[in-house]
Amino acid sequence: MTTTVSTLESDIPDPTGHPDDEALQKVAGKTPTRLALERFRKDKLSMVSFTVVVIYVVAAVAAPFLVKFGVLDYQTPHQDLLNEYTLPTGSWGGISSHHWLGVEPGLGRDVLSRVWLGTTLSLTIAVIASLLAMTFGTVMGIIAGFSGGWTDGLIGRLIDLTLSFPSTLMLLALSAPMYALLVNYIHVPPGDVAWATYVVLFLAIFGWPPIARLIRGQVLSIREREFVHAAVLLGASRRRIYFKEILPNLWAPLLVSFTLLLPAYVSAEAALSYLGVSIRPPTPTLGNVLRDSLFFADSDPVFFFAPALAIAIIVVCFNLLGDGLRDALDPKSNR
Amino acid sequence: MANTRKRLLAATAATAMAVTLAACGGGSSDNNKPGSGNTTAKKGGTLTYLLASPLGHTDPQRVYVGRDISNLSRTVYRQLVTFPVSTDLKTANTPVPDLATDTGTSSNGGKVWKFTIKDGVKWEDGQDITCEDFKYGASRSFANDIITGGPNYLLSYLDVPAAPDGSPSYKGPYTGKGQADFDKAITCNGKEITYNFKKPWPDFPLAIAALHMMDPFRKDKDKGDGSNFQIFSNGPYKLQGSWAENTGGTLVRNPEYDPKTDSTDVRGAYPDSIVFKIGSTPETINNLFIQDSPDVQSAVTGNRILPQFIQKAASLGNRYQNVESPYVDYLVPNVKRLALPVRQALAVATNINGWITAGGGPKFYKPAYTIVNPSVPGYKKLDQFSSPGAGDTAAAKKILADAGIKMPYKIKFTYDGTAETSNKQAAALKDTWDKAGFSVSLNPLTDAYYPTIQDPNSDSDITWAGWGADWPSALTVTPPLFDSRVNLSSTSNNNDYGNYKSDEFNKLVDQAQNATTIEDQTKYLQDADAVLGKDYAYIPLEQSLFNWVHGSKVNFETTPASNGFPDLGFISIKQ
Repeated sequence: MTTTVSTLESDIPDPTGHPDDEALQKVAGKTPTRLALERFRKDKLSMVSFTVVVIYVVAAVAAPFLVKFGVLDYQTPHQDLLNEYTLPTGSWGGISSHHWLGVEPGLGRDVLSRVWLGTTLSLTIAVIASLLAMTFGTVMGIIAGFSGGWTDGLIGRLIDLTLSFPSTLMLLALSAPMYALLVNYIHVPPGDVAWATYVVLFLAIFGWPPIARLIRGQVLSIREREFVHAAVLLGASRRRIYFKEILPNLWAPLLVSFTLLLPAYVSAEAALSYLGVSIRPPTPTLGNVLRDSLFFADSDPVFFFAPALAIAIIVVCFNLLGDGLRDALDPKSNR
Repeated sequence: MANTRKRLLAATAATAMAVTLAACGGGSSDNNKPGSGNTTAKKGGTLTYLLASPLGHTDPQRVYVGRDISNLSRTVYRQLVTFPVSTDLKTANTPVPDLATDTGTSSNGGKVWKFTIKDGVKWEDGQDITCEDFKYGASRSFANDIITGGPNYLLSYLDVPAAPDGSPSYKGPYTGKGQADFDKAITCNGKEITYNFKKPWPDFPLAIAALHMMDPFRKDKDKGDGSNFQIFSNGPYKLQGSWAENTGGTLVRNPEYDPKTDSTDVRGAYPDSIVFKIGSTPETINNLFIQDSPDVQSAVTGNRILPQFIQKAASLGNRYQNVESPYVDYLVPNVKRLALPVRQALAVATNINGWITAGGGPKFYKPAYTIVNPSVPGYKKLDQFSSPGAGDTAAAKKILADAGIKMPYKIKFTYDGTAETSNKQAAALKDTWDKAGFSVSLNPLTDAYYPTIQDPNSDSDITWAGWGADWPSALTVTPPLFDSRVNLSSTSNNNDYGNYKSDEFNKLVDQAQNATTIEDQTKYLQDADAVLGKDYAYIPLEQSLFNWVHGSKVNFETTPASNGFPDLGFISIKQ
């Protein structure tokens, strides 16, 4: 993605845009992307969080395969590893060479497997929801920003309306009827898939307005630039102007908002699981594993800290990555 | 008759009324033996009773939760007869006179019962308790559109003609409809009250002792539904002010109560006042008691210890108690959908050990061998369920293979998903069922559990349920759960969740209900349970155990007569 975008940027002669950048470009022969990357690489914190994020993503992609080949087993009970109070025997929550993070109280399922596969499912939900919210938010933002007038007003009011809904309350109240609707009329497979779909749709529907606002603001300044005027004068279609002229100039704020939206959704999914609206056990998500473990925060802390830390690390690292990217892409913004 | 009150709700404090005797023998850590007559008990002090959620009713004709029945009996509502507290099963199951002079005399093969009311027993305003008060109390049960939630045995037993729709022609004291019929069924002659029944009721005194449905009620105090949280006492305590549904109330001594008229020995009434405090979470209450926080040092609670706190609780020495409860959990295969070999294979492969461990372990459950609780007279283990264990997957697979059933056989398991442990317990069952040739899908319900599994067209193959006897007789266990004639209708299965229908079983129930002696009745009920076992109409899981922690300044007691809950008749404050 970066390469195509950067080519696009360098394709467009941009005498008015960033005179400083252009001067630099001439001297060092570097594209703005390259410069941004260099700034990013210099920031140690960003690089560390980027590495962690990459590890998480690779692990998340690998989990379903590891489950398939029997390396991870998130289902089989090992009740022989529990004491008379059904807590794991041994210290540190029953950590052993077979169970690196110990076993769950009650059933004795492997904690590492549950957290690992849970990460995959939570990240999948968060990624799909973020992409949906961003796609819709971007389109609405561009239309509002570029069109102005009553279209802008209408979308603006729609955004206000969406933001004014008591979303969490609605989410809980609507969960049963919406689940039934998804399963019976839209024929989403019941169970985990239907719950995941509900959460994704919900997060996306209430997540797009801030993106749309941000993009609208950006578009308001871009649409006054010469290359847009030129395109309009040359009689380019609206679609071309939106997606070929304006959109390529938005990738930096979009990338930053994506990396910030994703951790927000990971924690949102955990909160929703806690409230009982998401994929349900025995299929693990970070949220429902955390919910199970909360009751044992006192008696089996290892079990509690495993999912809690997994969530905390994802959220912190994605946020740091987002901040790092913003600094690198837009050095003029305040640090 | 559908009555959701008697069922055991997984998460909340349970419901039914019954008497557990095994607790006396089998309970653990007894520094204070339940009901052994506490010699250190002294009068005085204020006892606090903590509860997480509100009571449903305090109206005697409506209360149906085991915990509340016992609390009200010990403090404010005396009965005609009541159960004594004893470690001997037979003594504990034989009622003793309370407001009546004796335990009643029956004639006409158990169809007529007579009691005489004691002299000198008074309401809290000083008026005598009369025969008319008893009669009025019984009449309220018939207004089952206003006086809801309570036991409804009287409607099917009392000799009142039936209306064309099958319900009694008498509709309660508020409409006056059919009053003449009712006046014939219960008659007063001075202090003597006579009950006339349609069919024999040999264990009628047990029913009176176990429930409050036959309690007296003063007509001038009756505000219909408005009396739901009214307490008009005739016991050692009376309510100070009024009962606030969401915060509770305070009981103080009732000067009109004369201990000389009370020969039952079950109302020690040690504290000077008892404060009921409602509103918290079970987790908070668990923590307060485990830490012995100053607020709860002279307190007890109706909220049991949760599995995540059990290790800490069990280390508290004599502040911790583990007792048996009157409840049994069981699984109901849907007979409409599963053939006999499939039901048998399911039963054989059921991992009862796994279920128990996932639910908190041996401190919370012990395996059950029949749906009837060991505390019920005539308890007899069923051969089919004589060795509960981890589930024999190989044997189950063989049963399926021999019957020519194609594997994997798909089944849907529906259970009450509101308890924190229920998903894990279900996962433990799924594990061995899957290995035995089934393909199990789990269906946890978090809302309207019983109405859903009562649907005659439900697509569940097997469901979870819990039950406790209403009084110590299997008559209040198997017939209400498996008699197809009183349960199955086109709109609801009532308590017969698995659509079980057997003429052989129904015939034995008829014989039991018409038996004139308790011994004959018990024999027929044992045979009836054996039929259920042979047909795999249910799979018994476990008997629930209750875990309690109390404040350090309390002499704690829990008895079978209080259904395994704290017994307010024996608890005292250390002076």
